[in-house]
Amino acid sequence: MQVLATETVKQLPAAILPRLVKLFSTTSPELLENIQQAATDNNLRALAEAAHKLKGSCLSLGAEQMADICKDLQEKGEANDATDIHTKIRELKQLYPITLSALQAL
Amino acid sequence: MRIFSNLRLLQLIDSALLLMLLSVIAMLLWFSLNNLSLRAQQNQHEATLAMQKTYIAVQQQMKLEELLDKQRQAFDALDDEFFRFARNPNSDRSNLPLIHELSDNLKQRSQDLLQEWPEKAELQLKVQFEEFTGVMTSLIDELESLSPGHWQQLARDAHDTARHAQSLVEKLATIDDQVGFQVMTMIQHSIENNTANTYQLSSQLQMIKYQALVSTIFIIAGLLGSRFYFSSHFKQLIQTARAAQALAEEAVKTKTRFLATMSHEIRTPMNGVIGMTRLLMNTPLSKKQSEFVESIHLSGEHLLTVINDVLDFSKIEAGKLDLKHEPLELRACIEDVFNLLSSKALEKNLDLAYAVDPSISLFIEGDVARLRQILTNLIGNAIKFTEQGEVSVLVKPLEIIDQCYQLKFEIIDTGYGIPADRLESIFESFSQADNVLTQKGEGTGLGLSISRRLVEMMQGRIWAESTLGSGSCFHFTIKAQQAQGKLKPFLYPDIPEIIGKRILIVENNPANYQALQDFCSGWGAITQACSSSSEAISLLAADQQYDIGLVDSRLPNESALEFGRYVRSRYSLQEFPLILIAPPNDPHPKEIVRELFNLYLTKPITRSRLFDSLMTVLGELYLLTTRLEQPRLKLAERLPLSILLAEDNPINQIVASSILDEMSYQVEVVENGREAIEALRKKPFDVIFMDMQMPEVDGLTATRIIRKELPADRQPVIIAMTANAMESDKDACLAAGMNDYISKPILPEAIEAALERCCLVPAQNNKDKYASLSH
Repeated sequence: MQVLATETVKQLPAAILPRLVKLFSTTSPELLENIQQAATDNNLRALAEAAHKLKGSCLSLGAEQMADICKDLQEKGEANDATDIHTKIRELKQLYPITLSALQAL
Repeated sequence: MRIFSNLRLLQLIDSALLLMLLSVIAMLLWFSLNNLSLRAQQNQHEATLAMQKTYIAVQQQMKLEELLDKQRQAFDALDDEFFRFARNPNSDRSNLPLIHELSDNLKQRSQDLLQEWPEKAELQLKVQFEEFTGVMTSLIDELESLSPGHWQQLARDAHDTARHAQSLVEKLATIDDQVGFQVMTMIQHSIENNTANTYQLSSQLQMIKYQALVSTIFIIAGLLGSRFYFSSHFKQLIQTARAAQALAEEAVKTKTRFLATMSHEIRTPMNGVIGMTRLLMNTPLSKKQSEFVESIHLSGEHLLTVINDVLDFSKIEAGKLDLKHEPLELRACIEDVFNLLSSKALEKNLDLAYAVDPSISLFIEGDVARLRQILTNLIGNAIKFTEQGEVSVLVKPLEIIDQCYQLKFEIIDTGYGIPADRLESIFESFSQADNVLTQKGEGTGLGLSISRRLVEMMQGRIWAESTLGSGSCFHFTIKAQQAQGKLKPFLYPDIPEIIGKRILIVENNPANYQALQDFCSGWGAITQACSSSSEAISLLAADQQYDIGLVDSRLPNESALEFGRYVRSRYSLQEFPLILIAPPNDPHPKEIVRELFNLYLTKPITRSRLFDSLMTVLGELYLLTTRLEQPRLKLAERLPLSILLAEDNPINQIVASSILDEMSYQVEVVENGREAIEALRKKPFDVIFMDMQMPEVDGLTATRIIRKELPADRQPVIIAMTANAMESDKDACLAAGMNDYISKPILPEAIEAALERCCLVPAQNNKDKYASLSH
């Protein structure tokens, strides 16, 4: 699985891409923060919701690896399963800047 | 300010105390030493006086002794003479004169002695002495008056008197001794006095020593006390200052947080406003209305830039902006900016060109987004302020040390220029405030200020030069390391298909000319550059052979077509392919261009486009050109529908609405299920794209409500959009009454397919539709 599925991005109208990337860069930190907060509070329901939201953004922009982790987090949140969530969140946070720069480099 | 004045006051008090203590000790020392020196002087004087007295006394004693000696001698002489005279029977009056003389001598000596008689000493002795001397001296007179027979008796008497006188003189010698004793006593007294004085002096010195010690101890104690007092006070003051600083820092943090939050909060609805405006622009509007909408759109976009600028600015101010260090492709970065701004340049028919010195490696280390921001700003400004001519960007290395570059960027325009007195101030924050541009709503005045800060963060500086009437040049330098990055195909040097190809460049813009030459020779081509068509024609006339010609459409005197005609008069399109480098709005008639030239290369010239064009004419990428087929009829033209989009994620809103927009659909966007139901109550929609998870009312609930509440003739087709790619979700969607289901990422094909599935065959029953989903 790649950080960025360029074929997905290429399907998008080229004109909106810079705006989407910018939007991604402005909305994602907050979502990541929400995910972290929910995990810290052990609020798994909120974790699932926040992860779902970030997953939506990631999928649209072809950020497959991030989307995948978000999906796991969402499923774990919905299943009330708190194992490994912190590891996943750390991975997610590490992936974010890489993904963003990959998007910006397009 | 209060702390500061408090500190000043404390300092003053401290200094005053110190000065006072020092002056007290100085005064004490002064008086003591003064007293001491006076005493010493007095002592000295007394000693001198005593010495003088001693000297005089010694002198007196010596004189007295001498006189006594003489007296004694005179007595003895007179006595002897008398005796001799009396005993000698032959004595007669002839001997008398000698006795007279001796007697006179005695009288004289006696008078001398009496004169020197120590005052107040032995007065009785003095009287007796006078008496005896009188007797002795009167003897001679008696002798003269006596007969020689009585002389012997008289001599005996004289002898007796002389003996008495002798004893008197002996007594006098004791007086002399007394005087000597007196002198001794005086000397001793003087010594004693001196010793006493010295002792006094030493004790006084001792006292001064103690006094000095005590005052020093006092001063030290005073100073320690004051230091202690002040240091505790200072501690208090410092604590106050620290608290104030913490408060200020917290305030800055709060400000930054506030700005960031506000910017975000404003941006989200602004995106909505702009998105809606864009949709509104696609609806039938009167000329007046579309002008208004256009202006709303422009203002919205402007507001967004302002917010972004303010956010950036506050980030930089708060030191929150970190530059990335990633490989960035410098040329691509400039090309990106050109692509972004080309439409604006096009409106004014401006040429955009750039040249990067070939010695600069393809990749440098840096923050591509921020470098792009600086370039966008400067190039954007250049375009704004230039009415005709060109904007060129040159990048040169100032120095290269160990793969570390200092790069200099020059952004040169041919605009009106900037007055000399403003060249400095334009980099200040909000310096554009009084400028026409802000009034036109085109700038925030923060762009250059942000650029300056970014440049400074990249260890460089930025400045501007300008000549009124002929243009401006913005310079900036940055420090960057050479880096390794992943090469795109056109970034490789020496492309096999291009190596050795002879390329004729006909271009009069120096920057473009340079860029074309750099790119082509980088790929291994042999280039020949001409700045005019006549020069190129004369080369061809001299039977020079070329594989490809690159011709600028804006050659002077419209000579591009002329050159094309000349080439075609000698070579076919296959023999000598020509590429016309033209802006998108090239004025030349397309039919003629197609006859003469093989290909358009759209300005601005970028390496990727030039590469594609060369490969195309070289036959290698021929297939690529076939991709530019006639566009199919837009879906909305075949299948007109009113569409509602219910989606809370702003990215997905934009993606979905722009995909639908591409299909020429006008989309209304709502944020959640509740808004979707409200919108549907106001007016009917043919299709709703419904996100499953939304705040307030989610997609499934909204669908259930719609299916339940709305009359049959207003029931829309509901297509679920979700990122949950699971069968159970699909089932849940269909169970809730949705017609179809697409999973994210939302792709144009999926939307088109879903719309075609659901809307082209309206008579299908639900069961069949559901069945079609399980692919």
